[in-house]
Amino acid sequence: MLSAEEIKAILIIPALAGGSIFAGFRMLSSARRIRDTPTSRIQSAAQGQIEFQGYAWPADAVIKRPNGQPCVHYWWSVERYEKRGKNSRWVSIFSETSQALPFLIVDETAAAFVESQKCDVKTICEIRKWNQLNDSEKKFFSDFVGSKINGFPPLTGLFGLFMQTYRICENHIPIGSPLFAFGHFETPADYPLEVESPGLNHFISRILRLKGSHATRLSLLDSDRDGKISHSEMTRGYHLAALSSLSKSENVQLKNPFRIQGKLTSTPDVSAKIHIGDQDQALRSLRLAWLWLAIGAAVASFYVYYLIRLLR
Amino acid sequence: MSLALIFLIVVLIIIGFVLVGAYNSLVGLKNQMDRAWANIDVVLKQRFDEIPSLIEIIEQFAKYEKDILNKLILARQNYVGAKSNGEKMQASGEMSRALSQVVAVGENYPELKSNNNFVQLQNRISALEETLADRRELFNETVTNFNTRLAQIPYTFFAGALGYQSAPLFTVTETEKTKPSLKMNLGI
Repeated sequence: MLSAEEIKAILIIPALAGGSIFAGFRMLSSARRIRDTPTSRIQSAAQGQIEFQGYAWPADAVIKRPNGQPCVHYWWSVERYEKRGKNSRWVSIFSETSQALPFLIVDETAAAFVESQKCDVKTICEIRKWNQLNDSEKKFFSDFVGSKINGFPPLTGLFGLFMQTYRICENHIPIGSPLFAFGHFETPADYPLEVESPGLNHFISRILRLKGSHATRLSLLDSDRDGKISHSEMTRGYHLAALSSLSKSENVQLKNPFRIQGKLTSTPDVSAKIHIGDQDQALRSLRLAWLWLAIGAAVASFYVYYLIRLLR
Repeated sequence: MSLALIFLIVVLIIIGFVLVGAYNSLVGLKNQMDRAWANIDVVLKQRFDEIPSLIEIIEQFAKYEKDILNKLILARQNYVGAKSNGEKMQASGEMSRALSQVVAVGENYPELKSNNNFVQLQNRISALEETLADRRELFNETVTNFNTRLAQIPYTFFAGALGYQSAPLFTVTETEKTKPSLKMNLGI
């Protein structure tokens, strides 16, 4: 007769092994799909499974973080540290996700809408404790949350020492960020749409200039004067190009307006993914596939061995 | 049965699944390649469909340029008759060459050059040529991925069983290398 503990082990261990192996194979399959799909230019993109390398640009009004940084995608949450002895942890008590609006991915040839609500969007995550925020940021979050949460916002000064600890998690994609997009591309009936945006044209011309000669990049971006352009310096260059382009007048008629060729979305067969950076960075998170497979193999082996011992 | 032996059996089973994945990836790449070619075919067909309108306009203004028109008609017929991808690639090159000569005709006939329909067709064909160039690059990338994968282990073991062979790239033909740029003729 098997004990309750043994029955639990017989049920739980194969689930863990199976889950781990399944996760590993799923990651391998995703990685292979991304690697095998060539990168298209948006202007000549075909319908169906596609991969783009471009930059983030707002589709409509610019979203701004409380610190004034313009973004194309932004959501935040308030977390409270709950002290429960060994189970103490940060718990999300409020989140604002209404700003997951469509945005544009643009390359040197054209643009495409990204239906962010239907895509797996990887953002930059910044976590700061409440006392690390400045006054205007505290006011923004306090006004938004209002009286929905008891004890929020926390008091400052001596009284604040006795209150619970809060932190803000912000997830965003800054305007001008290099983006890697994988998903299903489609051109609806009334496309392509023309975008009369001098700001966007100016941004693309800046990007082409940055991508031009190495000497130009060094003169513009090498802030630490080490003769090399690091990844962060290059990203900063893209953000600065976007910021300077946003201020361009919107009343200028353009000779060659940008075109929005279609939209990137998910389907039952193709799950759309948006990553900041390039294909290598998108694949980085999938490198754990082999680790999951190894863990699954180890747990499965232990399970079979355990089962054989049990049944003898 | 020792734990080590059980672990080895499980690892072999997982390797089996990985080999299944390798087989599937080869099939997936082959389909990607076929899809990339089909996407080129779509643009070639669009370009092909513009040609009768172009011939009609030129005949109105430049009916003495029969030689050039005949080359274009012949290139169009060759495309229709092409069966394999290689023949289509060649026919596409001939059509590009014939089209560029037709566009050059516009320089000699001011009435033709100022005709709105002719200008619109030129722009349309120019846009299609750009799309064609992008799709050719994409096709070549899928072919390179496929050919590289075929030569790698363990995919090379499946290649023979599936009957897969290295595919040719969509290269620029000799006629295309000597063709004048459409943009030069349009004065862009």
